[in-house]
Amino acid sequence: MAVKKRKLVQISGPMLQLDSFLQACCADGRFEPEQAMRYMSVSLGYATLSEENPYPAIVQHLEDLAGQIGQSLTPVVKNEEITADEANHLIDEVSAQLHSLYTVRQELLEQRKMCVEGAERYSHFKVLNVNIEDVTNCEYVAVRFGFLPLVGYEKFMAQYANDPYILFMPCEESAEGYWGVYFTPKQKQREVDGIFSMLYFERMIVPGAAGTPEEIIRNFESNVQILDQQLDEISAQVSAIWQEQKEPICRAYQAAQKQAEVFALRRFAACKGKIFVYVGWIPAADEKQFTERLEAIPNLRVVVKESEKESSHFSIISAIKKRFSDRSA
Amino acid sequence: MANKASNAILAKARAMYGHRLTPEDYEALAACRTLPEVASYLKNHTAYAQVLSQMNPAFAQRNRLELELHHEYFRKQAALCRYEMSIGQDIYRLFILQADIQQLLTCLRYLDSGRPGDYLFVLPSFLQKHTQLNLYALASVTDFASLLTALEGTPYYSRLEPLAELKDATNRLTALAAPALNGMVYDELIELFKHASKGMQDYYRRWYDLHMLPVVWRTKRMLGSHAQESQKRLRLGITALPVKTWNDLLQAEDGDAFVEELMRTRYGKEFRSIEWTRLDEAAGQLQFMWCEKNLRFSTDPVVVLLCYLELAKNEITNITHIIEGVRYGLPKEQILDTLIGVDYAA
Repeated sequence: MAVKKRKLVQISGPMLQLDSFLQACCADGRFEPEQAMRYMSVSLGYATLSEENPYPAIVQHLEDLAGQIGQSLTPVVKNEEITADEANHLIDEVSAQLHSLYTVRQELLEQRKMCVEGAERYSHFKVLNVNIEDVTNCEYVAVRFGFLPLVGYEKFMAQYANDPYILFMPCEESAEGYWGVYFTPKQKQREVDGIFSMLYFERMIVPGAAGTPEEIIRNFESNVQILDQQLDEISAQVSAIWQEQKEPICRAYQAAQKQAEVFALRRFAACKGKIFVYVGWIPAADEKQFTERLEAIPNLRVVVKESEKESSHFSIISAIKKRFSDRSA
Repeated sequence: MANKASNAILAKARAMYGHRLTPEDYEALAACRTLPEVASYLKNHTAYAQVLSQMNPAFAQRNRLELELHHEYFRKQAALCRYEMSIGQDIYRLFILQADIQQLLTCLRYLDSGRPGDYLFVLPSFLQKHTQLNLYALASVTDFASLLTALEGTPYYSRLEPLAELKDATNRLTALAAPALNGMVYDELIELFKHASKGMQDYYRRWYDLHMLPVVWRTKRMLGSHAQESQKRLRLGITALPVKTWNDLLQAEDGDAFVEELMRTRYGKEFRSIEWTRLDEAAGQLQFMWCEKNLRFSTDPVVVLLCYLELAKNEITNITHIIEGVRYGLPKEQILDTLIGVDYAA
């Protein structure tokens, strides 16, 4: 397999130009960076950059923000740069706008859940054509709503069906047992509660409400409709905010993604004070184009290993690397 | 037909054993802090999901959980015995007899403790279709006389009726009735032995010995050299030990002397092969190991069936110990130490 000729280049310049260099020359993937410190003597006093990349976190925040709204981030045509501070400021601004809406939405969802659960619980007792408030406020009789499994029901019927202090009224039958209510004088309440506990009665606390179970369920259902309308209004407001902020957010996202990648390349640089050194390989055919791009960035110095003698050693190593990377690809 | 049924039991029992609890399951169960956690784990992670499908773990009670586990064991018995009946050895009758006797003894225990009505709450209603007993009538008894009335027409009446004439039998009914009732099991076994395969005879002889040896040992530990009571209970038609060996064992002065003598019997080598502190736990461990080996390698379908059921019962006993341990807040390692047949990373 023929190995393309490559040349080793060394770029040095002020730290202020490092990002510009990386964006102009490295982002397209044709430049293969090497750890600059490998080509430098330790005694020169250079060191690799050790920095935390702030952009992945920003990318994640923006993705979370969009996910929270239920929208997706789309690419934008215009490429812009954004600083970490600018991106964080944008995130904070949008989050603040949405925060109060989310708080209200959360409350509405909790109320809705309560209504749905209440309706579901009362649905087992529709046959009770009595005012629940009157029943639960009896002065002398304790009332318990719940579920009696079949195994407990059989034992109850065998032993307690004729007990004058216990009345169990099945309201709904299922394969597993009976939803029902039992009544007992308040004086016998503890003893009877114990009996039903031993019969595996699963007591259900029904939310306090006025009216028959049918009426209560209708009230819950109408409440759910009102809450759904309010939730739709909240969603509309959230959508409006998104429409307004979508473009800046998508631009920031695209920029942050790109800057995250570029920032990651900084770790190949060797730095001393305000000077950086960067080393890497370029295809020999691209040398002219590469140097022209570098010329557009002020104060950079480029050294290209011209002679075969100078580049042969590096060519062999990079050829071997390339051969292995091609095989594994 | 018999061969096909035989192969069916071998395959089915071994396949069912494949669904047993793993050491990881036991560790997870022993680490539970509440009974609902235990119920939830059994329901969501083990083969007990089906039998617990109707149970809401949040409302799990010990009684109900143990009842459902025993229901599962009974269901496994019935599933395997459907095959067993077709090959001519009707040990299903023996299982029902054992289940009946267990219920009678439970009822008697509640009578002895002065809480006869509480038997209702542990009554396994799923047995009602198979038993000769009217279990709900048992739940209504208030004293020994009403118990006898509930047993009229059953074979158990004649075994327990003599106790009615004993003075000072109150609060000791269980201890007095157990030998008479358990004797029915041994009588049934001796009857079955007439037609049983050698494998089945070996199983039950060993089962009997590993049950009776700890009973006699406990008697020796508590009462010393009183051989007569234990002598009365022995059924030499079932044991694998010679009469002379039993005589030597029964003459032991105390529990330690009994163990010394035991080490000279055919079971001595097995007992020496494991570490133990209590003979009853060691006997359980040996029986477990024997059953596991024979489940895998025996070609006698009845032996495989019996071994599988013994292992299934052991699993339920283990779970019961875990439930008790969780209920009393014991640490996980202490609970795991009470289990038989569980290898766990200490």
